[in-house]
Amino acid sequence: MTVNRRTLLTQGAALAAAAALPSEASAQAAVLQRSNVSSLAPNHPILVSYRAAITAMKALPSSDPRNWTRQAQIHQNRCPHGNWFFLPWHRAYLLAFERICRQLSNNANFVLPYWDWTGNPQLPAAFASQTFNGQPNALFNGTRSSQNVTIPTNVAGSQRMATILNETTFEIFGSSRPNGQNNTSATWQRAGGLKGPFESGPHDQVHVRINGDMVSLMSPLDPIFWLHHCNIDRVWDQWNRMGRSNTSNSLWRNFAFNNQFFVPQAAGTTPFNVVVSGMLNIQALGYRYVPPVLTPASLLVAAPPVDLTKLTQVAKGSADQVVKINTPTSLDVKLDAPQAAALKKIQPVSPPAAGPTAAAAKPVQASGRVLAILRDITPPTNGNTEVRVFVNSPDASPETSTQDRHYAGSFTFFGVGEHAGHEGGLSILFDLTDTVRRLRVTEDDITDNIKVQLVPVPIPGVPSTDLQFKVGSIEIAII
Amino acid sequence: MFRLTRRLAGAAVAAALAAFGTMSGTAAAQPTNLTATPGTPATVALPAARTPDAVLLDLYVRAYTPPRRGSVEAIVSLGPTGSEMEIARFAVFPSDPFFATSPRELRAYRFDASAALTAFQGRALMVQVRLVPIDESNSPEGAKLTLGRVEVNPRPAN
Repeated sequence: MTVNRRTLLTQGAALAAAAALPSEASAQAAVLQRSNVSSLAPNHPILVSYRAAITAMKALPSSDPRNWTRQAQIHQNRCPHGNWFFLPWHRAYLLAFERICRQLSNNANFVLPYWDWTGNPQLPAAFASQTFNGQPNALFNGTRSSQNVTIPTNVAGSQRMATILNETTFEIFGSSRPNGQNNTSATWQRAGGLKGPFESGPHDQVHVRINGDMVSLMSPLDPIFWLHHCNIDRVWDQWNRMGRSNTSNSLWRNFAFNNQFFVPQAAGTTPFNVVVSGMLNIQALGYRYVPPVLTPASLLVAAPPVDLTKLTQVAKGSADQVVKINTPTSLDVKLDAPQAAALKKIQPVSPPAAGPTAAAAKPVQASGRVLAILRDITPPTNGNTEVRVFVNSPDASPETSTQDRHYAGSFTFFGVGEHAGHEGGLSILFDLTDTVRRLRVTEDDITDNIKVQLVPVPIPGVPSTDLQFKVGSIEIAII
Repeated sequence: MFRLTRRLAGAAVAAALAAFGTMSGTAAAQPTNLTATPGTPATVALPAARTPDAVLLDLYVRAYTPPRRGSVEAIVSLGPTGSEMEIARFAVFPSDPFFATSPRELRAYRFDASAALTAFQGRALMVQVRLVPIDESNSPEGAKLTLGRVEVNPRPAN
């Protein structure tokens, strides 16, 4: 198979799109990044603020809409499940709650973390302990079936999520319209539609497996609820980044959620009234997610290898590298003059504007792409790993945060068995554009030397002792 | 759609089978059991005559009772009798007991069954819904799930 620039772009569209949006707004201060809770220590400011906010909400009188139980009652009385309002309604619900947490924790930068039950299937440790620093832990909930709940792979594992993300029709991915809906009257909000595999699978199953408060409509009483739904929201965002379109139906887009949510205003609160169409651009709403850990389905390039001869510039780098668990490995590519000139055309992200508002934050249009193609990969024969990819980091290591500006994303080897034996081996296409553009505005600007650093780290609960894999070669394509 | 009440349980079975006949253009319904309990699956026959684009399996749940302890999930399988392949798992959320007294109250689940329906094209199939405990340390005793209707449908436009 000969693959030209157009085909390669198509093959890489999912990850290119996935990587494009987050950091395009990264320089805009009003767009805050929601983080993976597994990357946060129990005393991380985000979790400290979340505890403080919960404690404050529980101390408020029930007459205050910010009261903890009142917040759960919003869900009990209003939440749509089993229809196409499921995703946008919960997005708005999280937003309003997040703003209350900011106010009550006195942390203007607070953002909800998410629980990625695919990468980290065990209930986050910070939520499982009864105490924190010798005091009752506000993240703990004693009604759960166990504090060691682990979400099995047949519910939310990589392959299961790949199947869910592979769905292209919104009314299957995001559940269907209510049966018979013919106008945007509020009475349709909780009318039954067809619950899709995303909602009936990972969403419902995580609720039920945690049990206790989580199996009822008062589930927001359990602090993990908000992180669970934050991850649901993240997966929806990821689905959109893969090029999947939400429905254009006006019965969905024009639907309003009025007088349901409240956000702080001065000393009191004010209703947070939203329309579905206003819930679709998360950057405009003031937040984003870290680049996703991409599944093999979106990264694998079919053998025989892609013919890159029709691309603008292709540079080849170091070959036959063995990469070992917890050991950073740098794959270096030296660009010649034309290649460096092509790279120079990649525009930087916009510098921070003075006092931007969340509503004014808009993604910057990309001007080109920088792709890394890792070729002839021999996958690990034992266990699995999350391979973190950094670009030109001075000190990439397993301890380097995925918030680091050099971080480009991660991949794993889940599900590669069916691909690994093909002629030409396994190849992985990785989009570095986002990171290059981010580094362009710092002292780390890339000119003619690109170091793609692979840092394999263990995945909790997955064997990785003595794990290693081999990369046959690397190419950098600038298109 | 049809009304479902406790009194009309028998009529509900007949109506469900009639719905299949209408959908598929055949009326060769097999004996069915619309209620799943631990150890006894719900089974619904799917006639052989189906339109090729009907790849989505829609399950309408009429009633659910959670187990006395712990929780259960439902495993949905589809295939010729004795050779069903699993196509989905789901858990009922919220998990409070419910009983639909009108068609609008049925809880509906949609699954992509294209692999099974393609693999067994032209053959009579059985839809099977089994209840299994999520936590093996808890007995699923008391759990019950009753189907109201089962359909196969084409994919909707986006």
